Amino acid sequence: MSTSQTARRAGYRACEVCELLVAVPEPDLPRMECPRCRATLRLRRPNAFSRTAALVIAGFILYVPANLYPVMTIELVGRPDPNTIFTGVQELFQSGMWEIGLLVFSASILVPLLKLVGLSYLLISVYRARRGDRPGRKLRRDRTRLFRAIEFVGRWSMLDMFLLSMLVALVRFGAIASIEPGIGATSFALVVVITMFAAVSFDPRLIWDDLEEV
Amino acid sequence: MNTAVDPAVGLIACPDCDLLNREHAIPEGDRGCCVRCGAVLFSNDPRALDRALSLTIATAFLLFVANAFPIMIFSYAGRSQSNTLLDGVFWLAEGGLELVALLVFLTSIIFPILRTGGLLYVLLPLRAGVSLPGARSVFRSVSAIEKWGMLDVYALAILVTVVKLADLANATISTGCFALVAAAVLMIATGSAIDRRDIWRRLVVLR
Repeated sequence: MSTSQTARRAGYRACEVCELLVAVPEPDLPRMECPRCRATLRLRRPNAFSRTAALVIAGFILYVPANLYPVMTIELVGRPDPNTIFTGVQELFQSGMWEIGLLVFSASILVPLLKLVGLSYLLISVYRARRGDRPGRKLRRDRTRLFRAIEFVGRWSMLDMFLLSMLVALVRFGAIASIEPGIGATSFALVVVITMFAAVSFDPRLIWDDLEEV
Repeated sequence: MNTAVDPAVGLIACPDCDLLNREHAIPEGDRGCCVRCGAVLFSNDPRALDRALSLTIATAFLLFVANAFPIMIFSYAGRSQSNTLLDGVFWLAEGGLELVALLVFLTSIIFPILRTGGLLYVLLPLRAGVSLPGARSVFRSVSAIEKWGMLDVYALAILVTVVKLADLANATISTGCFALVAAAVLMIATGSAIDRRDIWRRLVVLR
């Protein structure tokens, strides 16, 4: 059972934290507080489109050094061995641990890239829908699902950072002479954080909004 | 205050597509979804609060063990080095990776503890039929930091490390690791046990 109206059309703002529906006295009221949980009530996430676009672009830029520069340089008794994320994966494959290699490859290389590409796709399709290229319901549903997947999968990119935090123990203990911090690790950490913020700043309701602007 | 007569009672705006859905009776254990985009909107589980609370209490104990005991013990050429959650953070910072250290510190130690502590502060009194001062702000913050606690990802990283290092050094998992993996699993379970709508309703009634 449902109504066929959106909250916006019906003059409500839905609280993003506690889901309370609050009637809006005048449509353009800038700031309202949720009477139940005191979160700021917003019709849509503020500047969702441009914020997400800015963060996605920043993410793409940082994705390059994150993959080109060594995440760490492991020095095994005088023989420095710079490791990028990709060579780390390669090594795992070469030593026959392809399951683990696949896991690290997905979490560190594939997931951030798919997130950035996925969010770009969503932004472009929202832009085109506003310009009058309206998609069908099924496509909108799939795009909303894509967004949920992007939101869900993003945190798993942190895998490589946690790996690093355990590997540093080996320096202490002498199995590895030193681990040199690389630009790669910092860029990678930033990619993870920036893409998570990009997903948070996007508003999936944008995918549906043009339906009622006819 | 705009809480006078509310014509919105029984209506839910879908957080993903903004369509107004009407909350209707569903069988126990079922979930109600948005008719337009399919997002889960409400559920019917009378024991949700009990389950969420017991999972949170168990998580609190496990988090203590996971932080106080070594996660892993590396041994190599007759020497051994144990490694707690916090050790890794310190060594990263010492090695010049301050940003990564901060991120690991927040996502593997601070956020899981804050989330579990916050949930205890809200759910325990709620179960007894009272609500402590600030419970609503606490619950709001708990929802905000939920996805930033990443113990489950850490658990996977431990698995990778153990396999990867098998030939270089002998890495054995230790007490803290078992607690960490269990805490990670219970935190996921807590997340799906919590009935947000129900808790917010209770928090209002108890104002």
